[in-house]
Amino acid sequence: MYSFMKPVRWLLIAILLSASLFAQNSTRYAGQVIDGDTGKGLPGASIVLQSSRNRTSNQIIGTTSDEDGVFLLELQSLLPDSIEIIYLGYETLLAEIFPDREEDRVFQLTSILIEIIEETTFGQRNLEKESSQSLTVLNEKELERIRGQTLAEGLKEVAGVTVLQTGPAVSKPVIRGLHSQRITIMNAGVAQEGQQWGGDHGPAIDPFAPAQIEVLRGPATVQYGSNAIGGVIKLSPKRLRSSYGVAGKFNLNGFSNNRQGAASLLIEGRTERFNGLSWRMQGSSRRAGDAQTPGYVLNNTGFAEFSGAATVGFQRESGSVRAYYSHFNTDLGIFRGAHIGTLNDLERALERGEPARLNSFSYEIDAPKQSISHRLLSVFAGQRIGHLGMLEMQYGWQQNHRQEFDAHSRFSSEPPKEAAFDLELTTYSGDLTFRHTPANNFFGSFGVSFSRQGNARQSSGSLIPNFRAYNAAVFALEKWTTGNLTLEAGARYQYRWQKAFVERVGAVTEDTNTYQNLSGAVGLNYQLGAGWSLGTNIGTAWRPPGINELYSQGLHHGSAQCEFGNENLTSESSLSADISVRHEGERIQLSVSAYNNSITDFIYLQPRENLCVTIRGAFPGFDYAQANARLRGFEGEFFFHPTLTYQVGLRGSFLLADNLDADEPLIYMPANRMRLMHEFHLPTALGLDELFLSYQTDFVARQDRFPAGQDIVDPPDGYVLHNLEFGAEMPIGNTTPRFSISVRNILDASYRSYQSRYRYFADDPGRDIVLRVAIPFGQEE
Amino acid sequence: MAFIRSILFVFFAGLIFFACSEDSVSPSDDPGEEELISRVTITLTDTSNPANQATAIWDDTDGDGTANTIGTLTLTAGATYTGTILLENALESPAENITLEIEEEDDEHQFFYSVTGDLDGDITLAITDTDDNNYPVGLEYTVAVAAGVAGQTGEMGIILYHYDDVVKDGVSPSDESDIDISIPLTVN
Repeated sequence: MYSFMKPVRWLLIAILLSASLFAQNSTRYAGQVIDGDTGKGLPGASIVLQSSRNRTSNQIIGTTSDEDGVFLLELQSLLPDSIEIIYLGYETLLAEIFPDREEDRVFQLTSILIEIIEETTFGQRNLEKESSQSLTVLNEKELERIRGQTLAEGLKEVAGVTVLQTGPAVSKPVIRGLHSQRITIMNAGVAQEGQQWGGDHGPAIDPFAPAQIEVLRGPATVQYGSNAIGGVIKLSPKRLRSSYGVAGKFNLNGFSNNRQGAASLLIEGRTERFNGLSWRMQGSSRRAGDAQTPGYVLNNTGFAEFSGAATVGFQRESGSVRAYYSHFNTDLGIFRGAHIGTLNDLERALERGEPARLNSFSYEIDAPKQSISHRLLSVFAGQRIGHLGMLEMQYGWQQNHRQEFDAHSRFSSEPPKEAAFDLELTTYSGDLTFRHTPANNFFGSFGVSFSRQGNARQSSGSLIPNFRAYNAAVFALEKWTTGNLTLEAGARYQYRWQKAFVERVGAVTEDTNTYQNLSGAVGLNYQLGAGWSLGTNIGTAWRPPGINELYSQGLHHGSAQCEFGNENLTSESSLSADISVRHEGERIQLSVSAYNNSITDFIYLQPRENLCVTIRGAFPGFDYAQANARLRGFEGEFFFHPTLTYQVGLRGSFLLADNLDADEPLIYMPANRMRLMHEFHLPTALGLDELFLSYQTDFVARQDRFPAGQDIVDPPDGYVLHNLEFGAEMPIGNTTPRFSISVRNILDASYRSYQSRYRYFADDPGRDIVLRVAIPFGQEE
Repeated sequence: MAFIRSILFVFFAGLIFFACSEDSVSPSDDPGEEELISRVTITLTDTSNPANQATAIWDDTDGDGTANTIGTLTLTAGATYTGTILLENALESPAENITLEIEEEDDEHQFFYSVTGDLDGDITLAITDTDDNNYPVGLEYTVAVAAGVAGQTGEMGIILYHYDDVVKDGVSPSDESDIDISIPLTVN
């Protein structure tokens, strides 16, 4: 059958090609996509051609293959040099092409079930385009541009993501207004578990480690479990090397504002010994001193971070095994000026408008400070089971040890030797997933998931109680695809048992709760043709109340407010709908999502009528309460490139978040924002390659939607920041180092972000000049 | 299939590990060693009649500010008192005297006393002790009540500032208050 059809197809291609030669002065590129095993043509495969010389990857054109797997593309001004072929159930194929020399070419795709479907199928546009959810994928090249910053700080580049900031050292990602316990961060296949409830508790992750970051906006509890009610950030390390040899990369960054230096060394290889063992080691460090606002130094905001990771893996025809271990360590200072005693102290600090004591720059990290260690072990194993499919096991162990040191012992000037609080959170998790062999256009998986978590207080201070929790879940996800249409549906049932050892005036009482919920989601993706695609989904999600929401009792010094937990809180649940439109044309690139997330029994802090009177003064009091809330908005980006060397882009996020019961806006929601980008790109000039120059202007509006009278001060004014970035590759011998210089906040503008926890006391940091160098070495794959 | 068996073995071994480590998180009976002030006692002694004493106790009985008992200070019109203040952590047993620590670190602490309400202007408070730099401390003070104000009420405010970032100058507050309370006053 195949051999008979083949000449017919080539004849067809030949006719089309010759027709095109007469038609116009443009080139065409034709080829065929086949299954590498059976030789059958694959209909409906997505084909994307692009010029790799264009760093911003906007010069792309695409089509889909016909029923015989044949495709034909018209090339206009652009001469692409790479092809990406995407077909569900097959490995994404990336290859170099030579349209000026090649007449036609057959591309063989490998069924994905021969390779393991690892936790991530690499291929950026593939994931974004074929998703029914609102998704942004940052690839390694894009991540190079944000290396050296904290993880969340870099994710500000993604539409819909903002950052809850406690100085330069601590930043938490906020997706569509939700953060902390409402977001899941998947780190090397395991949900990262730290003390997420704290606004000043950043994720303990080496920002150099991920090679790909996926940001999934909106609830995804079906895939990721109960905390993913606001979204998911999935960090994937680089795939282990598949060819023999050794290679690596060295990253070096310098930041002028806080005189930060950061470096990371990665070495990886695959050896013919030990049945083809692949391995990787990475060590990173970041060291910073005090950050500086335009007017003054933010005393004690430095940090010292060290992390290391090692991975080993085997890959065979029938399966693969991979183990990943990482250890992250940081010591970070808390701004001295934010250390206050009472509400009056806070009001005095506000009135003064700048810190009480102005210091000169220093690298010293004094109390108050945080000291965090996070160790994570992730073991993955996959085994092909005959023709039935693939069985995958993911095991995780992680231990988060957090120590926070107060400024001084209560009545002396000596820094305390003992931490004011010291918590160790240990989490074990195990997932068993079965991915069945695609049948009748159905792709899917089902499985079980368990976890066990224990929180142990090591020394003084009972901010949150010790607790132990077990989670168990069963889930199933199925996807049906035909031609341009993909439908998907999934469900997860999850059960949680939790016992807390609550301490009240010397006595410990045990409080046991169980929570359970069924969540489900359905989605659709439609490839409309001409580069347009549409994704939409609707789903339910839930989250059990967090340990702080249940048991907090009393004063929080950082925020000068009393917070009272409520042991009777129930789970919050959400119903959300989301629609995304994407377009990848020759001159225009567009991606816009709109959403509505209705959360029933949303847990929030409700202000008390009476002040909370303590021996340290009277403070605003808040109870954890539940109400119905609604978050809706849209975000997106748009690029237009009138010429090959220039493009203009616009990216923005808009959010309306309301407490429907109280009929008022939700507090601390990110302000609307927009970024305007002008980018120039030259393939080669001045002896350099891949030059780019980018000028960005960030417009952040004032958050005018806030509940009156709950915060001590109204939201700060909006602001405009200008940034400039220049980068290029400089070939030296066998290696091609990449460097960039960027200036953030060029005009050294004074501003305060509504999402900075230091906004009561001080401005945000001023101008920052950042130098980045990345040097790859060794044998390329 | 040996491979799959070994996977399942590792997986279930992991689950057993879950089950066995049940008691690694044990509750603690220790309510926390955070140094805190839970009780403030004001004692005033009439200079002309030492038998005439006025005391008031501000007591945070559970240490987290949710159950406070606040005594009233009953003064005599026209009297002048010498006053002391006692700070304790009464959640410890026996109660820990924190006044002693303030005495040791008196160059980093200062009490600020004030009177509000009807009695504002009718009661004069003056700190009588000083630190090594000759700045007031406030562990000892005098209280003079004007004559003819019997029947009036007010409140006495007490703030203890800790000077760490800000240098103590005898008049300015700091950004760190260790206590900030007010005690009702009546005059007989």
